[in-house]
Parts: sequence; C-alpha cells; structure tokens
Amino acid sequence: MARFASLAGHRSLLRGPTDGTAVAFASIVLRAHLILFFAGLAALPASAAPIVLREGDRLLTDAERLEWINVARCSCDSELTIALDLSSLAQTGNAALVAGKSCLTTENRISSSCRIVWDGTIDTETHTLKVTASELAGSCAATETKIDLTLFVDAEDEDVWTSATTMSIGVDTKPPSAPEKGDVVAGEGLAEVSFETDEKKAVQHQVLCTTLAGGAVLDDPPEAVFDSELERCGQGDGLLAARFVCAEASDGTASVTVLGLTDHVAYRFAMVSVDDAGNPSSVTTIGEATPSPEQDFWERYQQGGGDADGTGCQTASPGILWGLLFFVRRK
Amino acid sequence: MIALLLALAAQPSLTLGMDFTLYRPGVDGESGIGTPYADMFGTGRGPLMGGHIGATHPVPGGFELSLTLGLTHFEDSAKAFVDDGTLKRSGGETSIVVNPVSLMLGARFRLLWEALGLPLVPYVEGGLVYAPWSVSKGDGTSVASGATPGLALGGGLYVELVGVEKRSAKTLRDEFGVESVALRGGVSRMWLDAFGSSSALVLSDTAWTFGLEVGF
Repeated sequence: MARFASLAGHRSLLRGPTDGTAVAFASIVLRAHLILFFAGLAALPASAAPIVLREGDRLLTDAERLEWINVARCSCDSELTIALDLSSLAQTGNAALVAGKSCLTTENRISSSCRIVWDGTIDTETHTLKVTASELAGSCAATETKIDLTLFVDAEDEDVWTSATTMSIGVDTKPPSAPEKGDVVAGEGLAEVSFETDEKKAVQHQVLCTTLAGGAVLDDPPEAVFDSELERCGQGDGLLAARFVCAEASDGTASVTVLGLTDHVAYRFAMVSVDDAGNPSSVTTIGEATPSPEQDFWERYQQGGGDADGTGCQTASPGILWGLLFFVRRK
Repeated sequence: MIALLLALAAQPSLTLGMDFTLYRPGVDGESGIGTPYADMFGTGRGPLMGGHIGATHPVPGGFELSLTLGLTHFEDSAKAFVDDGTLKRSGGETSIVVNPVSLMLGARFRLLWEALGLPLVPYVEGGLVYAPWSVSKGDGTSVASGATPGLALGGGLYVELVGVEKRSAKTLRDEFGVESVALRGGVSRMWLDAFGSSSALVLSDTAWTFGLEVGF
C-alpha cells in the first residue's frame, strides 16, 4: 500500500479500465506479427510502444499530438483514448501514467501538481483509458505550452519513481486575434475580401459567407481549418461551421477571392483567423456584396472593335506560314 | 580562305543567359479599337523575363555568329470594370499572359575585346518570335487565347565582365569552364502582328532590353 501513499493527493483521472479487450487485441497483434514474419517483410519488433494515443478510432500522429489540446477540445471535453502496454517494461513493480510538467520531485516522488491518469501493478495486459483534454491540461485557461504524459515506475514498491517513457502533448488554448477590419468588392460570380491583421503568430485566414437569410453558400466548401466549439459540442459562434467556409487566404496575403457566387444575389462576408492548433479567433464581420457582370480585358478589346481570334492558336498557323514564306523569299 | 575554314572548324561555345525587357504589348496599336490595353492595365511597362540557350561560333574579321533559343514570360493584371458603362473597378482581376519564344541569329563584333582589350562587344541580332498569349477573366478562367508570330530585331552592347575582373575570370575558367560572363544592354524591336494578319492580337513593341550571359 505504500506505493499509493504519495498518490493520495493527486487527482486521479482513471475511469475504469476496459481490459476485456486485451485478449482480443493481443490476438490480433500476434497474427499480424506472424504474417509479417512469414512474408519476410519485417522482423518482429522487440516490444510494442508502451503508450499509444487515439482520437476515436484514429491513431494520433506526432504532429497532431503536439497540437492536440485546443480551445474546442478543452471546452467540449473531447476524449483521448490511451492504450497503455506495460509488457514492454519487462519488469515488476508499480506503474503510474501521469500528466503535467516536471512531475517528479527531487525525492523521486510524483508531484502533487500533476494528474494521475492511471496507476496500478505492472502486468502484461494492455490497459485502455479514456481521458478528456481538460483533464490532461488541468485547465482550459488561455495558455500555450506542452504537458508531458509520463509513465513512471516504482520497481521496489518504495514510492521511489523513475520515468520509463514520456511523450509531450501540446496545449494551445489561446485563440489568435481576429482580423481587425476588412472590405468586400463584388465581381462577376465572385467577391474579393480584403482584411487587416496584426496577429504575430502563424495563422491562416478563412472567409465565412452566408446568404442574407443565413444559409450556406457553397455546395462543396473548402475544408475548414478551424476546430470550433460549435462543430464539437454546439456551443459558440454560429458562423464557425465548416459549411460556411467560402475561401481561405494564401499565407501572407491580405485579400481573398471568393469564387462560385451567383450574380445578383446578396451575400454576407466575415473573416476568421485560425492558428496552428485550429483555434479560431472571434469572427470579424466584413460586410455585404452582390456579384454582378464585369467587363474583362478581352471584352473591352472586343467592344472597341478588336477582331483578333481568341479561340486558341488558330491565328498562329497562317502567321507562321507567311513568316516562313517571307524568309524563303528573302533568301 | 584558310582562316575561314579554321574558324568554322573550331568548336562552338555554349551560351546560357537571362533576359529582362521592359515590355508593353502593343495591343492599342491596332487601328480603330481605341485604347483597351491602356484603359485596363494603364500605360506603364512590365517585366518580360526569361532565359536563352545558344551557341556562338567565331568567324574571320573579329566577328562571332550566335544562334539562340529564348523563352520569356510577361504578365499583367488589373481589376476588371463593372459592366455598367462606367470605368468603376470590380472585385475580379483580369490578366494577360504573353510567352514569346524566339529563335535569333546574331553577330557580335569581338575585335574591341580580343584585339584591343576593351571589354565591349557590340551586337546585332534578328529572328523569328512566336508568342502564345492568353487573357483571363476575374475568376481566373481563360476567356481568350492564341499565338502571334512575328519578327524581332535588336542591337546593343555586351560588357565582358571577365575583362573587368581578371582574377575571378581565371577562377571561373579553371574551375567551371566559364570562358565569358557578359552583361548586355540594348534595344529590341518586335513586330508581333502575325505579319499583318487582321485576326492576330498585336503584341509589337520597341523596348530596352538587358541580360546576363555566360559562355562555356
């Protein structure tokens, strides 16, 4: 019991292991290994990774892990599934999976400022845990940091812990500043939205547009780069939905052309800045515009009486022939 | 005669170069159409940039003949007009792209440089130009395209940089096989009107042209 003495003050995030899947999981892993071995494609790995993170059924990539906790996931209590395989430790004793920063004290105890995700005896099973973003982060207050998810081991049952493995999880719960102001000018089936921003960190900008009745405009909108509370749990700004995305600005540009609009139909436009973690800024209203026919250079040329053939390269063929004849005759 | 045969038997030199011309398509030069180009894009000139590959061959009399194949690119764009009879600009951006391909035969007078050590090489050149072009409307889709062939004539001066910086020239020759590095400045006249065809978009111009050429 001594091993849990120092853990008593910690906030435990354990909500019941789902170890019933362990046997099935081990069976699948074994079969996969056998197939790989006999196919000669790869050698059997010595051991599986002790900590595997999933969001839903999807494995989290390293890049996703380092941007995972954002405003929407934190506010909406999005869950991370952790598969904890202790067999790779190849030792006995106790283990604890801990979230936080600098979680080991100078006496090799687990710091009370950290959160215990799981603790127990080292065994050969894979423990499947579910933990929310806010539980991992400890708070959804605006911050940009990283927390460590560390597997600690107490081999001698003496409440003396050492780190077995650790992985960082990014926490960015600080939204970028919104575009300050903007303008919209209609064109033919399009609108050009310009804006200003003083955001210093890397952000993307997306245009949100609706009909005057508030409906979505594009049947196949560009992919939303923001992760909004509206989409995750029905909270927040009603415009921050993927169906309202109309265009996105290229990196470093301060204007965007929204294509696919219908002439003589009025639209409302707004802008949002989005940081690398998918946090949207507050939405900046840009204005309304109604696309209408425009006169491009070719139409201007033809209106003036220009009769060049613009249907392809047809003008070139006789031109080249005349040119060659010109040279032959000169010789 | 012997000198001519010896000269022709010599290996031609390979040349690579970059070209820069302050260009303005002469669309408005077509009679009776007004000034659609100036109305839309203004009266300024824009960069016609590209490069060329070629060969030079010495001939008697201190001359060198050159044959070059060049590819250049020009693009201009502006906000289109609202189609209401005014010259009010709309949100869409209309553009014109011209990509002239040229095959030029030239003569370079190298005696000043080779006999007198003055690093100046006057040149004249002329040849055929074939200029595919396209015009796009505000949403970026092409509304017209074609190609206008024509002739070009130019002349000017090369400044042999190897004559200005001799130590670097030796290094370039010994290490990279570079025999010549020259800056070029001159005037170019392009008659890009499909030899007078009325169905061609006129892209003629007379312009200052500059460049950098490396000879191997």
